[in-house]
Amino acid sequence: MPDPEVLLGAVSRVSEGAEVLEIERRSAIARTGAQGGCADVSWRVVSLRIRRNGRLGTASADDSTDEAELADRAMAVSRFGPPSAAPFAGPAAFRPVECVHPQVDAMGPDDLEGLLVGLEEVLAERWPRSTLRGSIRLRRERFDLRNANGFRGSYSRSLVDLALTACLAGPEGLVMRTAAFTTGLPLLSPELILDGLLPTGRLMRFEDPPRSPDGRLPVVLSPQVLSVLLSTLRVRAAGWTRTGGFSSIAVGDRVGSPLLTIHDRPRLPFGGATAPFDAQGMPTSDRLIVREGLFASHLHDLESAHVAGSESTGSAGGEPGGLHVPVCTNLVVETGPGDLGSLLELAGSGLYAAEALPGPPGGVSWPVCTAFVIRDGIPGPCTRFRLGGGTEDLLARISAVEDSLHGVGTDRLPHVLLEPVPILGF
Amino acid sequence: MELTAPARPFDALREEAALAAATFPAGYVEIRLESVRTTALEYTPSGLTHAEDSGLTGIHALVSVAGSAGRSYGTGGEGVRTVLARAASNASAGRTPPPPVPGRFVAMHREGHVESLRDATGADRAFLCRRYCELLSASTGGMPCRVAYRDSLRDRAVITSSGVDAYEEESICSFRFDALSGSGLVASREAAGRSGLEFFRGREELVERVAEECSLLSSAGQPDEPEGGILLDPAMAASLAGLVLGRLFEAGAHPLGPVMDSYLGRGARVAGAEVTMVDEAGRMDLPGSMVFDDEGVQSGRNVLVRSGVVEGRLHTLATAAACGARPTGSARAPGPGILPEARFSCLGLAPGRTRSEDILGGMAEGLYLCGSSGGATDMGSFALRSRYAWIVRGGRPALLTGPRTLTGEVLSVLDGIEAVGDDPEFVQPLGAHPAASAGAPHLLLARGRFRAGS
Repeated sequence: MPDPEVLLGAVSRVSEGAEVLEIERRSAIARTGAQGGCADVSWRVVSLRIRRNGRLGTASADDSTDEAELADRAMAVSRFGPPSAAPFAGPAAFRPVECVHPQVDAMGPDDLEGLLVGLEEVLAERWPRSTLRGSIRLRRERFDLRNANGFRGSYSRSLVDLALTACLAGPEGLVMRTAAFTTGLPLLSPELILDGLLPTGRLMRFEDPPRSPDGRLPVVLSPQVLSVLLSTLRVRAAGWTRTGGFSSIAVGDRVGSPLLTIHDRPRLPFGGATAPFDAQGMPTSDRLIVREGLFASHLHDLESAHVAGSESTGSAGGEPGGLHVPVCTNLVVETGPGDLGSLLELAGSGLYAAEALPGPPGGVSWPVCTAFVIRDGIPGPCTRFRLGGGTEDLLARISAVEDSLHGVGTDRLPHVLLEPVPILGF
Repeated sequence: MELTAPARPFDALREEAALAAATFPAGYVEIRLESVRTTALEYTPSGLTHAEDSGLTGIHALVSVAGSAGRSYGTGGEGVRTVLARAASNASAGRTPPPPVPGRFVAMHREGHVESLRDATGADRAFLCRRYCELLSASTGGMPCRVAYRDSLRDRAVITSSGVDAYEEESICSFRFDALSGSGLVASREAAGRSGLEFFRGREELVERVAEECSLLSSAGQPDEPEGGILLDPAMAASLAGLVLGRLFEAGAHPLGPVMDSYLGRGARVAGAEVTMVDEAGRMDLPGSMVFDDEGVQSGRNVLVRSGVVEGRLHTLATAAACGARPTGSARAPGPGILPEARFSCLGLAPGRTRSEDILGGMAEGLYLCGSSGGATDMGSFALRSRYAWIVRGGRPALLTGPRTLTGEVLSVLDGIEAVGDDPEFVQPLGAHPAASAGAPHLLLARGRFRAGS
């Protein structure tokens, strides 16, 4: 195992800046299916980033590699790596943040298997002709970051990753629903997890979307579909890539309806991407990204901040062995006044979009692969359609926001109602 | 500190695993070793924008003890015996039945490339990226452009107490050229091969093709969706095959596993007589090829559909045992610490008897989708994006349009193929985890069963 202190000492003598990140991860995984049962994963990686002769070099390796090889590889990359003049973080203090919930930390493989069995039983009871596939993982991680400027920091977190797909089969087709989120909070009961997936009765039937004179209908978006729409904004908010300067969004640009307010919250207690400092050792802070539909601020790492003449927002991220980029962490959308029932009532005779396939870049329609026809405020037959409009067109049409948040990935998102939008054939 | 890289540590790890498999006290021991070194670079006219050099060595252990199986994964520094001990502990604590055991198999596959990725320097790779980027920028008249390069060098071994001792070295070299046209559409070409760095040399012609496409796309419009059939060029057809058709034939991949077993049962007619589909792991020039799978079973050629009739599916040891089929050597782990699943390797739709020009010529009205920007599926439905499309009128491409999203039901694809072109298959690389390739000729999809909206 490369010793971070030895590695840092060695490369500091031959570079202008050096930083070593050590990640240790232990996971227990329970899976559905024939190859189910519990397995464990132990993973230790060291990532080195240096600046030498004004250029960045980076490399990562597991614990079977020694310091010399890792240093050699990072120096090799620095011979042609991107030029950089940004400083490395200094020995600044950072505030701790809640990352380890005692109930999650106390969980074991039996708890995971128990939860999975519970989910399978509840699903079978509600939907006899259904299957559940996927896994639940308990992940304990420790991050230790140090650099040649004197920064030293470490933190641990305990997380549960839930990645499940429920498949419901009817005589006319299939309905897929997914639950995929990461949380540091104890998981609720199987009933509550499944409640969010199936807003329809036991009898499944399919219909084409209803027609309206102008081809438009009000649509309630599930948190999963809202997450798909926000993926573009997520990239553009943290949009500095070394390719072409900064994101095309400027502060003050309208990116959504006045009802849309979004925060990036790296300090969200027990969030899936919560951390006291970022990948470069800068303290994290919660930040408003969109205020009442207007873009409020970009996210920066040290590199992008240096180029922009700005300050780092503590948003550096990236994979071990790669260059850092600013990234969003836990996106949280501010809630509205009404519950899901009231959104469905407002939709009247419209559609409930439950799952969307990831939209192609630059697309002007979004394939909604699982949806339900709403009649008198109640979701009924299944359907499929394409939402007509680009991301910003659709986000601009949000006319109501739910009063509760749901986990999607590491984000916390509500249901939202769109005022009538073009409905296209699937 | 002396800055010198050590000699190949993977061989020492294999020796340690062989000894452990022979002596560890358990009913069955399977050890899978994998060491991957990845290099990635990205260049734009403003310089290097991304660099990555990552390495990971992992040890997967499967142990059966007293009628129960346990698994564990650890990084290379932990040592084989530590990971085995954890797997044995999981076996004792769990209730997972032991999986089927592979038969004796010995293999040793080393690669011999002109420019081994093991010896190539980062500076060599960076030089080529910069050169192609400058050429692309000049050829497109200074339009924004990008060259992305990635290679991986993988050593893998499977050693079991049942007599499997297999080793394979795998080098995959891939790249992509992108240029942004005046209309905002992206012209692009990508390629991947199981090769050394020589695969990335001499690609000036591909740069020129991207530049030509960039110029073409500058005039693309966005007219309404026409009626009629949908013709896929070989790149789109290969993506459709990889995204939808290959996955259908992976036992256990579909959420409705048992239902699919009967729907795709041997002898079932699922497509027209022109459709023949084969997964051929032995095409050693393509990403995804392999000598043996991640359970230590020899890989080979598997005919999935012959003349529209199901001939077989792809299996792991467990899925084969569950339905009484023979293992197909298709067990592949999508990433470190993840169990192997049945996955296709080098999937090909065989050329049909209809001339591709005749298919296009026979379309009174319709869409001709060209180039692939990828897609997604939940295995119920799918969406696949083309880079651009032509409105076809009177059997000729009449009007160039921007990208189109092909959508439809997964189970409708096979019998929705109306005609298969006769052109040689075009091979599309399909991601890196695990590496795979798909190839197909032109495909004509039935009118009304699919949509191709903007």
